[in-house]
Amino acid sequence: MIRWFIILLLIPLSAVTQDSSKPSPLIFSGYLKEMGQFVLPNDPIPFQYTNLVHNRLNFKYKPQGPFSAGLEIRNRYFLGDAVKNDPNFTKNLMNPQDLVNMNVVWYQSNAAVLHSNVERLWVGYQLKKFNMRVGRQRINWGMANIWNPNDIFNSYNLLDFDYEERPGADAVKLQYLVSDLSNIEAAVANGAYNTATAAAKYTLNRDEYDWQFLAGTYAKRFTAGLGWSGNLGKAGFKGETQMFYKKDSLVVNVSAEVDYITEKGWYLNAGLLYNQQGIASEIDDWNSFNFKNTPDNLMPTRWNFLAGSTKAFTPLFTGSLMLIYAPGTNMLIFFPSLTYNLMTNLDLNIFWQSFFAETAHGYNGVVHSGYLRLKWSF
Amino acid sequence: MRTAILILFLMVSIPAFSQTAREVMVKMDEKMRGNTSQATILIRTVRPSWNREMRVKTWAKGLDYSMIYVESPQKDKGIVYLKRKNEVWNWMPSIEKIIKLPPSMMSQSWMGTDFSNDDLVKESSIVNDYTHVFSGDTLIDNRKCWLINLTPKPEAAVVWGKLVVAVDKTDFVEMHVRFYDEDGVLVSTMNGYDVKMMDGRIIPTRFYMVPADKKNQRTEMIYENITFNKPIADGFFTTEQMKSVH
Repeated sequence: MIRWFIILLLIPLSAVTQDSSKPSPLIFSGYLKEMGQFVLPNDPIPFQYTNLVHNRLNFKYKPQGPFSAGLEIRNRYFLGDAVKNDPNFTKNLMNPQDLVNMNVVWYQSNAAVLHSNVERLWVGYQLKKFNMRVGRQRINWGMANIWNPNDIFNSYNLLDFDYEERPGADAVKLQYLVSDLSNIEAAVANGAYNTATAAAKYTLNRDEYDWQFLAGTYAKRFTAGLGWSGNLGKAGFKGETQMFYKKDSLVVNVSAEVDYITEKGWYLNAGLLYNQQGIASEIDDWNSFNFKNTPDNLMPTRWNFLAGSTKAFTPLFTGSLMLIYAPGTNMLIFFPSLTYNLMTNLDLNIFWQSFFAETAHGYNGVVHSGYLRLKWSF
Repeated sequence: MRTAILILFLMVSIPAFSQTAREVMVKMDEKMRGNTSQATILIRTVRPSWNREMRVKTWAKGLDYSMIYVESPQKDKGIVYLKRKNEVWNWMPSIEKIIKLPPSMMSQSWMGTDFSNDDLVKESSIVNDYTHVFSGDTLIDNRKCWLINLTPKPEAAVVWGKLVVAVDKTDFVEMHVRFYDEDGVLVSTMNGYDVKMMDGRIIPTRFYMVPADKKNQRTEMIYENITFNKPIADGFFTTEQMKSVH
């Protein structure tokens, strides 16, 4: 495995750079991020600092003809308290849904880990009406921007801002194009708890709304759902609902959201998620919340409401604020961020996340963390 | 960025003449649009203390279909916008997702430029959504031009209160446009430069969009190449195609 990685890293970048006038069949991109993360002390949590150097390399091969291929590698070097304080830190870097283990731990000590994983590795075959992709890939069936109950092969997590790509699924995906805006997709993947996730989806466009209907199995349960994406006047209106059924046990998740941009350029969005398996009453201990979401459990809490706004103050400087409130537990998440484009491909980001909740100790801020990130895209 | 997209959608649609002012506008529109067009455009946003460049590829067919692929900067590479009639979608390669854009997005600046999404999409209606009246003659870059006032039709959903367009009398190219708001206040000015032959047509190949109230600020659009009337199937302008175009 390690030898294979080295061979990949030795591919000279000059071989994949391209003349902009003619699309090259080999497309290379990626980024290098340096991020410092602070967790403020809040008894019993001590002050913690962890540094993360994070690199992603994306290769895509798209010659003329029906075949294509993709390879994406994620390399991370963690140093600091998060590694020290968690004996399972390295183990938790692995994706339990990977059918084939392509992780490499290059280096490990008490306070540091250097880890790589192959995030995508697929071969595609495309005809006019039919296409197929085999291997590790992202199957993104989400239509909404905030919460995606239809995204059953994986799940987008809006709190995990540093990993928007999400892990891949080891899968086979087939697609048949019915018409310009209508298609049928079917996929089977290694899913949660080492069970197969298999489902088919029909997508169509009617009266300026995109619709999708899906059905299949997830974690040995029957699952079915629908999603839509359209407009209400000048606002966007999107939503998804998904049910999971097994022997008298029915779980239903629903999301809906609206978004709108004012004349002055303020992007406003509001959304809700009903997550049936979520906690709906006061908790004893913050650790009752599990933020490692799964497609059938997208938040630790049952009812979730989000209000957010994003504004580009100048073309280079953007600010954003997201507030999430979950009644019952009275959980509140305060999530502002700032982005400044220092140079064409260099961004400086500041993120803050504060979590408040009603616990046995009263209502208070439980976890406050700040992140300072530099991102260079290449 | 969004503005530039709108502008692109619009420019792909601009028209000429003996013409009534409307006929002049129809010819001007046809000149820059063709039945189909494919172009590579460099967009430079210029501000007093900084500037940024982006390169896009565009495909357009009639008024209804267009697609824009962002080739650079690297951080935005692979982002695609698709317009089909009234609907606009955005492909985000980093999250491998198609996002439908709300209509209110259309009046916004396109990717930080001085062009709005509307500039791109609505100018397609420069013929049908306005009434056209000759208002005089002028000389721009030694080219004799008509000045034409465009007033929106009452039922038209346009952002502008009035447009003043200067169209070259020989080559029917758009040399100058002034955009006014509903109160008659000048919002921005667009100028065409570097008129030359591209793919058998004489067209301006460099446009500057200059906001009226901001000094030393402009967005430049430079056509690096353009091809007209090369057949493009409707099936090219689809959400599936967004994922593989490059």
